[in-house]
Amino acid sequence: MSTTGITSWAVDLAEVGPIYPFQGSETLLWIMGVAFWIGWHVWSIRWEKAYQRDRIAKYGDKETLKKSLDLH
Amino acid sequence: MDTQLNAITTIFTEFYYWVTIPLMFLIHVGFCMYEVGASRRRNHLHTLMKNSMIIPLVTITFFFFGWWLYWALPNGPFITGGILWEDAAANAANSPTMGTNLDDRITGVFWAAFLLFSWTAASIVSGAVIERINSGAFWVLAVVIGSGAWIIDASWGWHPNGWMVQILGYHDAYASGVIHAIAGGFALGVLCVLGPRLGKFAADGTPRNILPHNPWMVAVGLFIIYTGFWGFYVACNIPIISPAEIDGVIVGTTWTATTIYLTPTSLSAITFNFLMSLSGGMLVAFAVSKGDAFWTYSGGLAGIICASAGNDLYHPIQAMFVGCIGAFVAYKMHHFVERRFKIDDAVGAVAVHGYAGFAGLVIAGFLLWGHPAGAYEGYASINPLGQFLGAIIMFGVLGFLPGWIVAKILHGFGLLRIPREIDIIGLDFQDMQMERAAEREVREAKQNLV
Repeated sequence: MSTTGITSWAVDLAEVGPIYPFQGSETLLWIMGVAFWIGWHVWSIRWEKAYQRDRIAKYGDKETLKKSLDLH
Repeated sequence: MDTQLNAITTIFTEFYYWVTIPLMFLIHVGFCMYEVGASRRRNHLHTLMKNSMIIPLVTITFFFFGWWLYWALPNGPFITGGILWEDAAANAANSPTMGTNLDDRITGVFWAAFLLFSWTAASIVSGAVIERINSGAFWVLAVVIGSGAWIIDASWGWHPNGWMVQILGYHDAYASGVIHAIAGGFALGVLCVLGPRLGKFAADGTPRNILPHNPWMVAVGLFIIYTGFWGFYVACNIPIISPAEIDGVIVGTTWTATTIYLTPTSLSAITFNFLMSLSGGMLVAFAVSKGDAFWTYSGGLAGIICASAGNDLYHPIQAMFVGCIGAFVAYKMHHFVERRFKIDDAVGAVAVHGYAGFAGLVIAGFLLWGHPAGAYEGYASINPLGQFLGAIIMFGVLGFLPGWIVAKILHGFGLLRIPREIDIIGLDFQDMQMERAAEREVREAKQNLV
């Protein structure tokens, strides 16, 4: 028993195809991957909004804004 | 790999494409340096991360669906046939060939070579929109062009059997249109919705030149892009193939290098023409910009980009003159569009990639008129109208339109542009100020101890 389907290298390589573990789970992996990708976008957009709200709360007063303009 | 010749050809081809991948990685390094150098010091880290995150996002989405699109859509679909389900199945994310497989040794390398083109397409857009786009919004746009729009255009016009090649006689050997014009058009679509950086235009509409904070970094970045561009060119060729394998109209047994259309060319040709078109671009850009470093380097790129459509066939001196035209068009068009339409393209990406790429496609239509676009019977020959229509499809239909539409949607949800206060205080400047203040305190404390 082997997760890759290979239990010994005493084989003719011409007859060997995929050797990654858990063959047959590709579609499930694909679904999980796509969900992870979309979730990451949702998280990053939310995180960025929160980050900006925090920056504005900390530095968004008139005096800091004016000072920022002077500094650049 | 059951015969020695078969094994050597496979290993050589694998290694050939594999070498192009780290070379093309340099394009991304160059783009990051260039963008950070061009941004103001209040936005450095965000500018860097905005571009860097293209790498994982476009990579995973290109694996999930981008690569499949290339193989599925050469017919449109429904222009010269339907979706090529069978061809595409072997390149779908759930195919056994998209993994460690002793029966298929090249798909991953070939996939990665295309992937690096995808990064480039997204990275071109990244430079144009610096300092005012939300990173989250940009990353959505990066996936749309990097794993969507560009790979559909590649399927149509950069595939031996793409419908544009068959019907229009479209020829674009080193991607004037399929990478550069589309990315330039896409960037322009986004810029139309995004608007300019604060202070870019005076109250009377006169454009102000926002200087790069570090011109040296910009110059080195562009040099590195030149270096990476070698990998890009080489990756666009098939290094060695027999007429029997092409299975087209070529007779005899002479093996050859070909373009992606399986039409013969040589590494010698593209080496001549790469350097000559780069030189033509730099010479003219230096002259029209009166020695401006930023535009001279960018003009070199515009020169290569403009000649790329036909650099598999041009004479080197033709490549040089086409490069001259590319740099001239990019410089003049950038300033005209900026003045006339108030478009703030921070690094000239629309001009260097979009306008020069568009011009290059049209020029190739005239210079290569009548040359076969494909290696198969019944395909159209290269012609000016086909190239012009191809340029419109690349820049406008698959570039500008998707960029504009997705940017509009993001804008509608309030996600596209950073708030005005953040624009003023900078995306990361205040954090750096805090760190500097902390450093000062530590230094003062140390001095007091002494």
